[in-house]
Order: sequence, then C-alpha cells, then structure tokens
Amino acid sequence: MSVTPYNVLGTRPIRHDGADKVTGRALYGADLQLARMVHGAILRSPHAHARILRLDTSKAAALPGVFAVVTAADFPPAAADKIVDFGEGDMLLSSLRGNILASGKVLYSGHAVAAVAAVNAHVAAEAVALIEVDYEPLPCVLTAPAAMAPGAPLLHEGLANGNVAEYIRHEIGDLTAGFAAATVIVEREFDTATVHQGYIEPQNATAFWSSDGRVHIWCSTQGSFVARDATAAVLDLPVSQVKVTPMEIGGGFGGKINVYLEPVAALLSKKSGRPVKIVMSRRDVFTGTGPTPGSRVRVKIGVDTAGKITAAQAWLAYEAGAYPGAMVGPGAMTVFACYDIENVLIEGFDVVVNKPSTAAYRAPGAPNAALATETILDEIAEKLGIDPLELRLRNAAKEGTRRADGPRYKRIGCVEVIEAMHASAHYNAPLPGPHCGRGVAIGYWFNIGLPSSATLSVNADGTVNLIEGSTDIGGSRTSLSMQAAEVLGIRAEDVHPTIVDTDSVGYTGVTGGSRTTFATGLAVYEAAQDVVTQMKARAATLWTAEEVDFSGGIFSSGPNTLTFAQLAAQLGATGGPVVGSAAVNPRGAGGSVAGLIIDLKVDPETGKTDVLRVTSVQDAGKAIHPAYVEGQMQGGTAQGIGWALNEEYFMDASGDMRNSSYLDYRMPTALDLPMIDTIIVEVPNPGHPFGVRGVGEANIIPPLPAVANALYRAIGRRLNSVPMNPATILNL
Amino acid sequence: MAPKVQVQTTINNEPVQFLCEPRQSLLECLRDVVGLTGTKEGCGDGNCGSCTIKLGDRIVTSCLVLGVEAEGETITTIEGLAHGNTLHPLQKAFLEHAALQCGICTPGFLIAADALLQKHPHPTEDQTRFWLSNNLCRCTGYDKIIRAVQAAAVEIHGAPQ
Amino acid sequence: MATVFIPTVVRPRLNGLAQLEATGSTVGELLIDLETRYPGLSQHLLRPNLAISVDDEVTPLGVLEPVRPDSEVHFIAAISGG
Repeated sequence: MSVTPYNVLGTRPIRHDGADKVTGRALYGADLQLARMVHGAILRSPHAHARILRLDTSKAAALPGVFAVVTAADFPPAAADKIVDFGEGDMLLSSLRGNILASGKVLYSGHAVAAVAAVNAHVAAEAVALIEVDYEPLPCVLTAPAAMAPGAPLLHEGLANGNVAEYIRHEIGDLTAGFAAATVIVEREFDTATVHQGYIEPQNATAFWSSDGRVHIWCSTQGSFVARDATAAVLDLPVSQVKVTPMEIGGGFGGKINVYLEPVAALLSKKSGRPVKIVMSRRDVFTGTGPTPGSRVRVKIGVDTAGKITAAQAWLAYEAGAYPGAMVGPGAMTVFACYDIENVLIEGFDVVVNKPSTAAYRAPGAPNAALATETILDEIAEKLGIDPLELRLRNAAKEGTRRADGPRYKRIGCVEVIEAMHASAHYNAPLPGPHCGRGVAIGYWFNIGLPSSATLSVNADGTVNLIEGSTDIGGSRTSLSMQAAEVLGIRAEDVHPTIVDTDSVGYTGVTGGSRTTFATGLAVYEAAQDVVTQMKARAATLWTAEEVDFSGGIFSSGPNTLTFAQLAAQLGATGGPVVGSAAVNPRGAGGSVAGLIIDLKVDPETGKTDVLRVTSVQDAGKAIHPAYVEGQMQGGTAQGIGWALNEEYFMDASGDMRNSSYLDYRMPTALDLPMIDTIIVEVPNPGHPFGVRGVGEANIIPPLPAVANALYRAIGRRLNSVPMNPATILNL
Repeated sequence: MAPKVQVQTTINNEPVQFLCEPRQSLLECLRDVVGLTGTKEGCGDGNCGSCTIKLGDRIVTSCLVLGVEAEGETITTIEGLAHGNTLHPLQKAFLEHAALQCGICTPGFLIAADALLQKHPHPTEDQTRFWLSNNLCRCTGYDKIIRAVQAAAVEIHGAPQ
Repeated sequence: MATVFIPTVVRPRLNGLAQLEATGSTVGELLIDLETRYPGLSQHLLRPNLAISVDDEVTPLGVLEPVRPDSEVHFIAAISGG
C-alpha cells in the first residue's frame, strides 16, 4: 500500500446532489413550470437540400391557442459576420443563425425552418403542421468522398474549395526516407458512420423576454456562459442582457455545447410576452442537433525490423455536416499522438455535406483517426511477430517527444498505461474458446484549460459553501468540493456546492474538454487557499501572533491551536465573514492516455458479436473521486463499443435518417455489455497542484480499434468500416 | 378539442384525481398535470425506459399509457420509492456505488429494479441485465448499476442461501 | 532569438520555410519583427482556429505571452473536446 498524503482525495464520498437525483427531486430543464408558460414546437425540413421558395405561417398563427410564430425573418438584422466563441469549436455567427432557423436554403433533413408557441405541446404540433412551405429540392451529397468529388452539389458559396471548408496539414521529417527505411509497410482505408452522443435527456430551453429587455433562459447546457454568449450573439444583445440558469443536465458528451433552442424560445417569448418552453422529441435530437462526423481515413505506417515506426502518413476527410467544423483538426492532431515518429505527414479535410451540423462528442475526431492507426499497428505487430503492446511500447510518446503539429509533450502517461495493460490479469488470461478474439488499442486526448471561477464562504459551523458555474454531468460537484475540503482540512460533506446562473458567478467555460475537475478544480483550490490566507490573519488577530501555520486542518501559533471549525466559529468576533474567491484561465491541462483490452465472441451463423470481457485503463493524473473516474472510463468504453459494433445514422439516398428512434438507433443496453473492469493509472500532471488530468474523453478512443482487432482474431478477416455489425461481418 | 376527462387514481399511496385530455399520455399527466416531474421523458416511444413507473402490479413505460387508462389504478413513481426521509435500499445502493452520473435515467432504473427485486430476491447478473435492458443509460456502461442492484438485493433480502 | 514554427499550410507563402528566428519579448513582438521581413504573415498565423503554444504549452495570453530568447513558438489547431 502506498501512503497517500491526502485525507479527502482518493476517497469515495456520496455525491452532494445524490439524494435529489435518486428521489426525483432534481430539476432538469423539462421539469420547469412557470406561471403563464406556453410551449414551443419546431417545423423541420423534410428535404436534405432545397431552396425555400415560399414560407407561409398565417394558418398556424390563426389556430386558436397559438401565441406566436417565428422564422429566420424574426432575427434582428444581420450585423457583420463574426466568430462566436464556444470555448471549444468556434462557429461563424451566420452559420450559427442559419443552423438555428434556416434562411433561403435548407441544408439537411431536420433543419429547423420555423417555430410556434402555443397553449400546450399538442396544439403547438398541430400549428406546426399548418405552416406551408414550398421547397425546390436540390441534389444532396451525404459523404465526404462524394462531396469532394468534381461536380458535387455545393452547399455554400465561398468555401475554401468546393465543399471543403478547411485543409489541414502537419509535416515533420522526411516521409520518403522514412518509408524507405521500413521493412513492413501497411496502408489501409477506413470508413466510419455518423453517430450520435445519445444523451438520454433531449435538448430543452425555456425563455422569458422581460418587459425590461432582459432575457432569462433556463436550459440543459454544458456551459451556461457559452449558452448566454451564443444566444446574445444570435439576438444581437449585449451579453449582460441575457441570464442563463443552468438546469440539471441529462447527459451531454459534447452535444450540449452548441445552442439550438435558446434563441428560438427567446424570440417566441418576445412575441408572446410569456415564458416559452421548447423540448425536443427524440427524432428532433437525432435529426436537428449535432452528431459526430462520419469519416474516410487512409493511413500508411512503416516499421523497421526493430519494431520502430519509421514513417506514418494520414489522410482524413471528415463530414462537417451542413456547416464547417468537422473536428478534423483534433483528428489530425491525435492520429499519431501516442507515438514518437520522426517522419510524418498528416492531411485533413473539413467537408460540408447535407447532414446535421456536427458537434463535439467525447474526444471529438480522435476515435475515427485512431481506428486506422491502431488497426494497422496490430497488423504490423502480427507480421513482425511482436506482441501488439510491445510494439506500442517501443514507439510510445514520452515527455519531450515532438508532436507532428510541432510542440513537444510535457509529462504524459503513455508508457505507464501500456505497461499496466501488459501486466493486467485480463491480458494474461487465456481466451475462453473458439470464435473468440482479444484486441487491444490505445488513444490520446489533449484536454483543455479555459476560464473558471469559484467562491467559497465560511459558515460558523465549520462548513463552507461553494459557488461555482460548471454544470454537473457526472459528479463534478463532488470532485470540486473534495479539492476544497482537502485544502481546508475538512470533510467533503462539509462543503456545500451550488451551481448558479450567469449573473451569480464569474465566467466559467463549458463542462467539456475534460476540463472541469482540472480547471474549475484549480479555481476551487485557489479560492480555498484564499480562505486559508484570510483565516490565518484571523487567527493572528485572535492570538496577537506574528505568524500562523496551517496544516492538516489545524491553525497553530506557538502553544495556540484551533481546528478549521473552531476558528470558523470565531469569525464574527475577528472581523466578520470570510469569503475566498478565484478566477483562473490555466495552462498546463495534462493530456490523458487510455487503453482498452477487449474479448469478443462472434457467432459464425449470425455474425452477432458478444462482448465477453473488457478492461479499460487510463491515466487520471490523480483520481480525485475514483468511483467517478471509473464511471467516466466505463461510460466512454460503452459508448465506444456501441459506435464500433452497432450505432450509425442510416440515411436513405434522399438524406433522410431512417432510424431516428432508440429502437432502431441501437445503443448498448445492459444486456449487451459485461462488467467493465478499470485500472486507473496515476502519472501526476505537473500543471495541477494535485496532479489532476481530465478523464472524460480519452476512454472513447480505444474501443473502435480494439473491437476491430478482436474481431480479426475471432474471424480471421479485417473489417475496414464501422459499424462492424452482423451484416458487415457476414458479408465479408 | 375533446373535453377533459376526470381520472381517479392512487399515486404513491395517496388518492389523486386529475383532469386530462384523452390524448395525453400518463407520463404527461404525471409530469404536467399532477406535478410529479421525477419521472423523465427520454424518447416518447417506449424505448429508453426513463419514464418507467409501476402501474398496478406491473412496470410500464408511462409514455405509452394514456392518462385515462389510469382510472382506478394504483401507481408508484420515483417520488414514492423512499419511506419519508428514509431512502429505499436501492436508492442508497445507487449512491454508495456511484451508479448514476447525469441522473436522468435513474428514476426509471430504480422503479424497474424495485420490481425486479420483488420478483427475484437474488437475481443473477444475467437476470439483472435482462430485466434492466429496457432502460437505457448512456453515462455509466451499466457496471455500477448492476453492482448497486445486487448490493441492494443483499441489503433487502440478506445474503443468498 | 526565439524560433517561430510556421504551420505547414502557411509554408508555401514563405517558399517552404518551416521556421523563422525573430526578436522580441512577447509573441506579439516576434510577429511585429517578422512582419518587417514578411509583410502580411501574421494574418495567416493569428486565426481564431489556431492557438498559440510557447515552449510546449498552449497560452491563454496569446500574443501577450512573454518569450525568452530560446523559446519555441507554434501556431497549432485550437483544441476542443466533448
């Protein structure tokens, strides 16, 4: 047993919002009820690409029970175009507006065209059906290769090159010389389908446009300030005129960063004078929000007899959907990120197609790219007769390794994760029988910083109240409270966290990029240090002492000692309340490496794959609350397995999604998965006082290639497209 | 618009009357008319299980039941699972095993798991997975949910003989 | 002199040069120095989808970030996440 220097970190307290969430008291966006509230519904395009010739809302507006109808014409006049900063994944204001309510053309089936507010959701739906739209259908294009082909239908005027919005290129070393030095070269091409984050709670937003001009929004968002700023940009309002109250959020995974409903609800409220609530249907969520890109990826890797990668080349074309922004940048940055390679060429293409505008999804862009790299390495390991983990270990990126895009790594845990996989009970256990295969893969995600703010106020009973702005999707109230408790020498239960609206806390970026426990954690740490400094001064006053020490929750000076709680009880007599606060915009977000070992069994008759055993390994830097670190690893693994085996947007030739329900868009159920074992590796991040690395994302990267590699061992053939469902397996 | 219908039910051991349109689902009635918003809507077509409630002696996805069908029925929702301020052993187990992340699917899982433990006091892992396979969770990968349900079974019924 | 690494897509504008030496105490001063020799270069480096990395760390200060004579400056894709 290693001796931990911590009292609170690494323990597993009950989450602070737990009782509310197991008793049904926690309020999510759709649960909100306001006096005089009316309900909105959205009209969506049935065409993947069409010109809007006529849009007549008069019959809808005349229906009894209808309070307001809005279209893109109700947006304020377009100011000069500008970038709307989502903190991650920026968007042009014109694209954001165009996606929220179409103007001129519709660009995908499901594209919002108009919206209605009515006395209830049923009447709103009836009114939407009365809106008349004449469309001139245009040819649609649904995949990146088709959209890049000469003569493809164009979605927009003025992109960089036809439907290619951006070209990315990273180059180091001498590729030709690198491949010349290789003894084994493998090149393969892979296609992946569009998939959805699949959060169970549909998007929702309630807005009230007050007579004083302020707009109050209640919504399900990963970032209340981002929702505020984007809504203000779309409505051409100063940010201070919009106040966002984040409700509990029923999953996001990157898909609840962008705004879809908030500005529409606000416009409907402005017209009706009432609070307006809009809740998406499941089909709205699939067809009207941002899934993650489908892609075509071609990778070529050369390795010498010593098992050293001598050269690597990647060509990545990602489907952005209707507007630019396919996350091909992160794909290009991560495709070879786990490895130390001297000669690299990476090209990326951000390609618009007639599908919903894509959004982030857990390590966005990385799984598509890693599928290729990690599958090819598996093939090369077999050709060279090297253990696949040993091959990865010989090439693992380390501190100081130069990345293909230029900078060198700080301390990362790539070697440690591979070694933990190699030493695991799972990797050293025999396979259970015929038609079974074991696959391994690793993946890297950078993680991000971004601003966060926090305030701590000390209560006379020795507890503290934590005010913060990071919406809590997976237990972050507790991982943040634990960091405050550790500094202050109190229990996690003695910290009372509250997530407040955008008027009530300093700017805080999204709960995304695996940043919350790192960056908001740092803000909480700094705020707690501020409290300690102030409390020391109070103790000094009390004792008329020059110097006061604080250690292990005890203030001391000479013979005098007081616990945190004892001193807290005397604040009134020593100068009044103590409130500590901090606002940070940290550098030093430590990247995280994740690995997966998976055993599969394939039924040769039906092509059905059963998942037999799974072990997820990840570098957490320091696991603040290990149960919720494990939860991130298990959740990302389950999503990755679903992506690998079953999930896809099944589009017909006209661009309509034919499987827009949970019955047909088949996410893993409890019956589809075994227990998911976890091994937490802790290589401290030097950029955080407790060594925290974000763990929310890297875990979704290895499942695609690990499943592909396991399937190869089970059936003896390699698949080059995802999902690797029974039909694909039987048709090999 | 069809006239509203009066429906007489027992919800969480209390008599409840509500007025609803014939087209309104029981889920909508519970949430928007009665004000019990603990039951969640994830899909509206019976495939996610978030709106699972107990209706009589069986569990149903309340989005697929009409409000008027609840006439004379006894209903248990998530708000009725605890005894006063004392959490049900399943609720405690979900917290102790970190079996929820975002929490939106949790009410449906708890109601479904409660029914499972009444039918199978000591369910195997396979029985538990099969029973809960109509409840989708996108955050946890189910591992901690299965463990929590099995721990609650021991808490309620003792260790299996 | 600090070293400014040129993103691959920008290199054709500099006849293929991959890195340049520049003088200054901040990223901004380096760019001003480079502008005198390569007019118009900074508009291709200061783009919203590019983050600035100084000595292997993405900086929230951007052009205000201090640099040392031996610093490495990169313009890399702004990283996002889910």
